[in-house]
Amino acid sequence: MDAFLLGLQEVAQWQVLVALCIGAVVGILIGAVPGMEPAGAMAIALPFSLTMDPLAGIILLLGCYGGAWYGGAIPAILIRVPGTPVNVLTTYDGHPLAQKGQPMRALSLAYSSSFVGGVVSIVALIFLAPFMAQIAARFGPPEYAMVMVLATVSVVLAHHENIPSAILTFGLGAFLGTVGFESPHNTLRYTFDQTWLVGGVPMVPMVIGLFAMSQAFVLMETKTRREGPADLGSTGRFAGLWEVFTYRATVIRSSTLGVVMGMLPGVGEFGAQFLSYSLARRFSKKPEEFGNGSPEGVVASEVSINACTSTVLVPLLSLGIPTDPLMAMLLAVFMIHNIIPGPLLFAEHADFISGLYISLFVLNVFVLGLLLVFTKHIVKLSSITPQVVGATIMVLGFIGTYTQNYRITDALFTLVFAIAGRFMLKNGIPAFPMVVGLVLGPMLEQRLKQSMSISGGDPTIFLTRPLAAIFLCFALIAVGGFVWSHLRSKAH
Amino acid sequence: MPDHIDHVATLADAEHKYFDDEAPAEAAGLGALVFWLIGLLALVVLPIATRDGRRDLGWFQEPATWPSIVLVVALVGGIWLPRRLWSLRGQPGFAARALTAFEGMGRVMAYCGSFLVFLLSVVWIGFTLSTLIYMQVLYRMSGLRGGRWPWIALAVSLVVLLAFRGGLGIWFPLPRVMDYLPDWVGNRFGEYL
Repeated sequence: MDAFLLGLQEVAQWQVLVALCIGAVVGILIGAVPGMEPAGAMAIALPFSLTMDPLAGIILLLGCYGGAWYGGAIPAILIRVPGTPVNVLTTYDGHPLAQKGQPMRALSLAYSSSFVGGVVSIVALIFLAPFMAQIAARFGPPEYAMVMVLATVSVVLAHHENIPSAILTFGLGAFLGTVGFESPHNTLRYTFDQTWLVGGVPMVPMVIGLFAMSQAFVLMETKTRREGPADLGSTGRFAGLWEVFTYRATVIRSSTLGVVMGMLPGVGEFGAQFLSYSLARRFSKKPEEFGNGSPEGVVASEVSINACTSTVLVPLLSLGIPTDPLMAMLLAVFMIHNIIPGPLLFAEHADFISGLYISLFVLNVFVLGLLLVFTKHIVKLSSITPQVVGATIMVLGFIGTYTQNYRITDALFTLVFAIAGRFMLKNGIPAFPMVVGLVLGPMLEQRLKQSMSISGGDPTIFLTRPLAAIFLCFALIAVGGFVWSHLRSKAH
Repeated sequence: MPDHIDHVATLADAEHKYFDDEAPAEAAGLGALVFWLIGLLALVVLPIATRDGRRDLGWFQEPATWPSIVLVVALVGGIWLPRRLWSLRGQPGFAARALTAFEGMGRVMAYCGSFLVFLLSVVWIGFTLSTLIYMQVLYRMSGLRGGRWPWIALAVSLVVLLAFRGGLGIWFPLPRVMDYLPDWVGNRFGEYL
């Protein structure tokens, strides 16, 4: 109870409430405007969040992240363009439903489904994160090292259509993480006597370049213009709000999938959504309606997406391991305020953790209310000229990257990664593993060195420590399973 | 519709039944080859880019160990990409399809060039003036010319300036041009530029 009250006190600070509102609004707008991803918005918001109080900074980023999944349903339903990549399946049934003259029903159903998924995810986070942290309290360097190996394998396997590229970019990201000062010998690596490289490759310019500026280039070259979405009709804005509860089995199944897959590194919303949708179709009483405007399809897609949004925090909060670039950005905010995620976080910063839970709940309520009230205005943004968005991102990207340290080299880093990001986007080379590699690489190096020091250079320490061996086995099983299914599908 | 984890949806997608950002195999191979060669270069220069450890703490603590591990993993894991490109080399139209990897990069370089000029102009004439000019340049470069677009660019620039300089109070160093102007100019206008 004390922790709850302390959390409320944290959330009631005006900076937190302002950050929550800005994050939510920016997130919804990012989702509603096709061509901009939450990663890009978070990248631009990251430098500003670093200057705020920890909870305010975190909630600003989470607002961008969570709000975007809600807002992404708008263009998916109205103009058949997913606002974010994870809203792909919402187009399958949301758009046909809108074409049948029920756009508001489809939208409010998507909002309420997202809300239900979001709330389930917060409840799961509240129970799972401390539980995981208790387990993590028994971890030493070998266990942490093997969890990171498992996370790496999971991130790579998430790009199942392009595994070699994912390995390559993860490795290059981890290599970039080695640039600069090294311990324990205190030497410099790959700096070539350049003082601006001593601090290593900075993460903020990298994420702004890879995710924001590269998207800006795409938007600047998007010549297609569309008229605004069709009339939203006279159906009330609450038309589909309660309908979500008529599909209880789908809600339970999809939210469970979302909760579990949200915790798996690299899998997250995308995997949860596809699995949830296909299972919903399999168990539906009306499977023939799927793809032709089935409300159940919208529920399956949106619930699973938002059921991931809080549980993705479980590995970060309990183990201190960022499993995707978005979590890496959150970790940067934690680190700058000297808050170390991991088992001790729950004991030492109970007020912060409680505040985080409460603000996540408030965020979901706020976003839902905002969407229900302002949907008719927000939908107009779906047809905003892409070049306008692109040009604005270019300037915002500069502000974000330059004003952090007022170093021209940071802006040049951004430019290099922007070119790389656009090139990767064009050629289907995944950029996410590169950022995960940059953040996870140095952590893994440190844990491996510590483990080997403990064992006197004997690598069998990873097999003789039970928990480390279990994580290593999981990683090997995941790789083996993937290879087996790949060979099997090839044989067929 | 492919399950594209990295697909960035744009309005153009509405025109297509499927997302059409699948790169030809040759282009994807060439694109990956570029990164693979960067990795190879990093591995080749490893001996001159790292120094030996000052004390003998074991091979696993040597400064060169971890970079060599990650680079070898990256190169071995990604070797399939250049190999695939090599296997496609005999097909008709190979070179043309492979070179589409660089399609549109000229425009990207043009935007990057403009960004560099913007960067220098912020240092010399300040953020406010540079932003007002740069937004106009970006609109023109992206094809938004004439009519209402210059005014929209101006309005967007002003919103950005108000939000970040006025609202968030983001500070920028005094532009270098002030070094060549009387002190009172810098004192009076410096904080707005």
